[in-house]
Amino acid sequence: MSTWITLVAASIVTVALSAGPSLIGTRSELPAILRHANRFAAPALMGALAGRSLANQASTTALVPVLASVAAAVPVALRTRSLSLPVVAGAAVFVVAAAIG
Amino acid sequence: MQTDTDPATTAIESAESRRDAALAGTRAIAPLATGLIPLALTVGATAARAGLPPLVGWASSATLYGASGQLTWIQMTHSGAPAALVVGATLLVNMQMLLYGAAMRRYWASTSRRWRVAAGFLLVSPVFAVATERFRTEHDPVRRRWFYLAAGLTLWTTWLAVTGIGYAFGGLPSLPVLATLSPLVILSLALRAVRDTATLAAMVVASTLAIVGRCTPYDIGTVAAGITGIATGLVVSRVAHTEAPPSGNAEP
Repeated sequence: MSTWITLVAASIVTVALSAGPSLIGTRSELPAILRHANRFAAPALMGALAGRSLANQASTTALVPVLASVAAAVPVALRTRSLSLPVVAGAAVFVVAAAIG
Repeated sequence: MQTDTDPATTAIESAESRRDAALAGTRAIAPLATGLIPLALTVGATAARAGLPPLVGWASSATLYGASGQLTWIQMTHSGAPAALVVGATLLVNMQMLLYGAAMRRYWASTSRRWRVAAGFLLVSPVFAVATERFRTEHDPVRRRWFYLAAGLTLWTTWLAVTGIGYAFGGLPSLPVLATLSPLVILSLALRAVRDTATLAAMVVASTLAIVGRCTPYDIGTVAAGITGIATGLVVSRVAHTEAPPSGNAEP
């Protein structure tokens, strides 16, 4: 039950963020600090989640394949800006490294 | 001079105009929706493997529309974080929606409140991208609305269907490589948001702190790492801004 409640609450909060500015009015500007901090929300929060979940993954499987997959995915992500290619590269290297190790 | 306007002809032309706008919206979003299929499959599989009550994970595709927010919610819920922390982390990671909403409000100014809420629900990065591109040359508000609605609904239904397929396959026997897909997708999302030194610093600091603090109760370490990352980004950006001469480049 509490899972459903957090889902509904998180969904309402998300719609409030995207629809809120147009519901409030068309003249007021967002505070500068909020606009500026917004640039860093995605890399910081997603980076934190990625770090934690990769560390958890390394502790449940093996460290080397996880590190190898990250080492493969990062340059591909930075070079291509794609969402899928880094995952494909990282997964392929993970399979190879796990097989070798 | 008097012009003859046949109401029936006008109605037909109007319907055709709306249909053309809707088709244009669907066509514009189709390549982006196709490109998101691997991500949607992984998000669906992640939801299935997170140990959530039946169908809750998939329902999150419908209501908590958007990969970053959805993955954050799934991961935090899976780790047993308190409800306030789960909602707070989702709020933080979806902060960019505030900017999208602010950018779209001039296009939605003449619409009803109900429309604005519905349009806000469908507002995710790909829809924002195609809509703002289209609206530069499309000035008819009705055609704009149909374009936006078609693009938004096309992406939403595609996301819902493909995450559903991923959800169904996520229950298959566990393979280590499948468990690695979700962290890699999250890493890709984080790296995609890296644009300069400041955003890179934000990501590196946040991910390092999250690894160090991953054993903290209720997943507080992850949220604290994220907030520290944001603060780091602000500081690095400020330092870089004071050291470098003004370039005149506007932020997107």
